[in-house]
Formats: sequence, structure tokens, C-alpha cells
Amino acid sequence: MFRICLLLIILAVAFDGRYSWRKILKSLTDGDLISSIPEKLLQPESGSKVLPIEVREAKTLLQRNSIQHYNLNSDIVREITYQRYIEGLWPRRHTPEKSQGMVIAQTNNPPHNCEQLDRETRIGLFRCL
Amino acid sequence: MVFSVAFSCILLSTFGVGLALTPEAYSKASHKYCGYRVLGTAGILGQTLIYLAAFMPVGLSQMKPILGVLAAFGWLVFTVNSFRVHRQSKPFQVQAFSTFKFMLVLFLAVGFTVKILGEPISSWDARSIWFFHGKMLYYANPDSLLNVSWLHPSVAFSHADYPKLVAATSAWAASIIGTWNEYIPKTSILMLALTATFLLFSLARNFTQLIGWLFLILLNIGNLLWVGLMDGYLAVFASLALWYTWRGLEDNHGGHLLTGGVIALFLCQIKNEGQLFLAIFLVVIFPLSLLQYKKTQQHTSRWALWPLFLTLAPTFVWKVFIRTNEIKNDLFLDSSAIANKLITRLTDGSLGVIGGFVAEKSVFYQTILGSLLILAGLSVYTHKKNRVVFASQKAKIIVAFAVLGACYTIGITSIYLLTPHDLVWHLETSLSRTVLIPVWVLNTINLIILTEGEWPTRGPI
Repeated sequence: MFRICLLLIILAVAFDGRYSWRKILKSLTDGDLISSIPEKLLQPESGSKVLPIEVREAKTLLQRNSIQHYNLNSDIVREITYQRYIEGLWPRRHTPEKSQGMVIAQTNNPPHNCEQLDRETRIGLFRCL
Repeated sequence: MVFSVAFSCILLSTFGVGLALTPEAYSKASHKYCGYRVLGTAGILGQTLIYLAAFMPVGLSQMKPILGVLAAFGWLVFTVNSFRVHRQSKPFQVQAFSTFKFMLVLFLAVGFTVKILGEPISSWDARSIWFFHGKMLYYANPDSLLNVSWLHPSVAFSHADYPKLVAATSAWAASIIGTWNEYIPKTSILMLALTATFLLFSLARNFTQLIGWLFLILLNIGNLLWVGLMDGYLAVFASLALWYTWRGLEDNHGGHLLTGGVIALFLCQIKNEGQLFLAIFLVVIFPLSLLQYKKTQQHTSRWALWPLFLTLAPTFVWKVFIRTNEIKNDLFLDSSAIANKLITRLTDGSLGVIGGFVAEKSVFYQTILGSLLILAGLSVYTHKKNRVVFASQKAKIIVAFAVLGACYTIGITSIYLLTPHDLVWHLETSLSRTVLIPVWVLNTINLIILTEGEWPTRGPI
């Protein structure tokens, strides 16, 4: 037992402490965390707050307009958050050739020569023909 | 109430299916001496069968009745055998299910459940790879891995060639609940955590080993066990594979050797790095295991070998599928120009770049320093006790483990050298996780030497 205690003390000093016991115990004893698990697990779409606000707005727009295939404005495609759009909006797919001109774009950078069909705060749905 | 029933269904079905397929679940002796190992093996085989079921063209959700019946049968067999064992023993004398161990398992199970399911899927790779694949599978119609649009241009970032164990089990969990959200798919991680817990509790001979291993794991990679990344579990199962192999060789126990092999094969289902570990395991450790297994009197029936083939099956099927459908790995490791590229990278200073990253403070503290300090302590300890450990067969096994760790490090370094991506970016985004297996090979060696009983002073055992 002495050996393992020594070993653990050495390790505790050696590691950088990001995963400290205090942090682990605090999260384990968080009452709200435990009581809210059943509710969160069963609700459709629960937890989607982890997605960026733009992706959530795009999701709302696609759902409201019953769109299965969409296109993304070029500035969104170039950003790293492109991945969040693709997985967050799935099973709706980023398929430009089947999108019938439906483009998701930021409202402050709309695509040229396109008609705005619907919008949320930051994201709009445009028809580009 | 609804939550409890639904949640229980996910875990009970997975482990129940595994119990029906675990040869030792039918053996009374196994319950008495290694009940947690039976549950751990059942966890691996259950997840494996769900993975295999996801390949069925009819879809995973259509397989629910068959898997449900199999799970009920598995639990029936397990329960009947457990009662038979308990009737013959005084309460709390059954080693495998002592009250203390049971309470600790329960505490860990609750802790893992709260930590894993208390937070939505948030880490980048978990969302972009593992659970995205699960989501693609869940929404495919029918929900079969053969039917998912892995080659859709928009998912090119998602490493479609990666193993699909977590995708299959997360889609399975969502399918039972009936909806996909950001919490329930993480039950797949809970299955891995519980499986590892059962395997650990079967292995640990005393409190020191148990707490030492748990403490090390939680301190070193605890966070990786609940955020949705697979690297932590890769390290955990690699460590368990080596420890089971050690115990099998030391105790001349075929069951432990087989479990070590099953865990090594299971690694391939979790992440591609598992294949590298398995390849080295087969070359370095497997011959030792095979020689020892032939000497054992236990578990020599062909039926006992069945879990090995079952655990290999989904990896084999998936490899055939991705080759047939030309789903490429982003590293392009199967291209013919590998040798030339490796030679170029060896001479252009890339090795120095990798070395520099390893030496960086954050990686250094987490990985190298901890293990070196243990080795230093170990060296002092062994000299103090004046023990000559390197003449024994035990020491040869330890050396084999160290060779495995060294070969794995060389393999991972080679992959970095061959990367078609920017080397610095690749190192920045992954090195702190890919070093976990070599580090945990070292940690396992240290734990074994420090806690596995007396060592001989000379000669073979």
C-alpha cells in the first residue's frame, strides 16, 4: 500500500491537474445534473444547444420550410463550422444539385441576385435561380 | 419511469445479447471465480453483435425482436447459473460478487452514467466522426451500415472509413428510445465504460491494484472517457488486454488469455489505431499466449475460441465493405508511394518537429514525465530489495510488452511522417491523444511490476 501511495503522489505532482479530483467530484455531486438526465434523454432534439446559433437557426428554417436538400453559401462552406452545419442539419443534406436553388446564408452576407424566402436573426433562406 | 425502462432496455439488451454468446456464461465455475469477467466479455460480445446486426440489409431496428429474445435468453442463463452458485456457497463468499466489489462497481456505474449522459455530445471529433456516423445510420432507411451514404460529397471530412462500433451502438440506443438527440447516443460510451469496469474488477486481485489503476485512469484520461472521444477507451482496453494476457501467462489460465485476445481484437472496432495495436500484439504477444494456451487444461474446447472469431468478424466485414466501395482513408496509406515519402520525411527534419511536439510542456507532463518517474521509482525499489527480475519468464513477458509499446510508438510516428496533411496541424490536433496507448503500455507495465506479487530472484518460473 505504501508503494502505491508513493506512486500516486508522484503522479499527482507530475500530471498537470486538468482532471483534478475536486473537479470530478464537483460534477458528480451536481444535483441539477442528475435530476435532469431522464428528461433530457427522452426528448427529441434535446441538447441541440451545443450547436452554434447559426446552425440552430438554419435547422429551424429547413424544418419550417420542409426542405430536405439545401445549398450553403460559399462563405459558410469555407469555414470550419461547415462540419457543424452538415452534421447538425442531417438528415437534411447539403446537395447543391438537388437543392432547387435553396441556399442557407448569413443575413449580413446574402448571396447575390437571390430572393430571401425566410429568415431568423443571423441566418436566412434564399432562393437562387 | 419511462426513462428507467427505456434506459434499462438499452443496457440489458446489449449485455444480455453478449451473455448469450459468452461460453463462460454457461459455466458454473466461471460465475464463482470470474463473474465480472463474464459480464465484461458479454459487454464486448454484445456490442460486437449489435455492430454485426447493423450490417444486415433489413436494418438495425428490424433486428430488435431477434436481439431482444437473445438478450432475454442470455440473462436467463446468467441468472440461473448465478442462483445455482449462490445456493452452494455461503452469502458473500462468492469471490466474484463480494459486497465490497459490488458496491464499488455500482458507484462507478452511477458515476459514469451521470458524467457521460449528463452532458450533450460536444467535442469536435465526437460530433464530426463517431456520433455523426451514428446519426447517419439512425436516419438511413433501412438503418443498415450498407445503406448509409458514406460517399456523399458533403461528408468527406468525416473519415467515413473509420470503424463503426460506436455508430452502431449509438444508433441502437436511439432506435430503442425512438429518437435521436444529443444525449441518448452517448449510451454507447457508457457501454464501453461499464465493459471496462467489469473487466477491471475481475482482474484486480486486491484493493491496491483496483484503486491504483482507477486513480491513474481517472487522473490521466478521465475527461476523455465521457466527452465522446475514443482515444481514452483505446488506451483503457489496450491496458486491459495486456494485463489479462499477463495474468493468463502468469496463472496458466486459458480464459484470461482468451479474454486478452478478445479485448485486443475489440480495439479494432473502436478506432483504426486499434489495428496497429493488434498487428503488433499478434507478432509480439500472441506467440507467447499461444504457447501458454496449449499448456492450459482449462477452456480448451473449440466453443471457447468462438468469441475471438466473433470479435474479429465486424472488422473483417467493414474492411471488405470499404474496399469494395472504395471508401478511402484520408491518410492514403495504401498508396504505392509510401516508401519514398517515408524516406523523404525522415531526411527533411520532420522527426525533429515530432520530437519538439512531444517535448512540449503539455504533452510532456501528461505522458512522458509520469511514466519516467514511475520507472525511476521502480528502479530504486527493485535495487533496494536486491531483486534480480530480468532473468525470469515474467520479465520476458514484461520485455515483450515494452517491445509492443516501442513498436506502436514507431508505427504512430511513421503515420505522422506519412501524413498528407500539414504535419504541424496534424500533430497539434491529435498528438496528445495518440500517445496515450504507448503511455498506457508503460503504465500497465509499471502497475504489473509494482503490484503483481513476488518476483523470483533467479531462473525461469
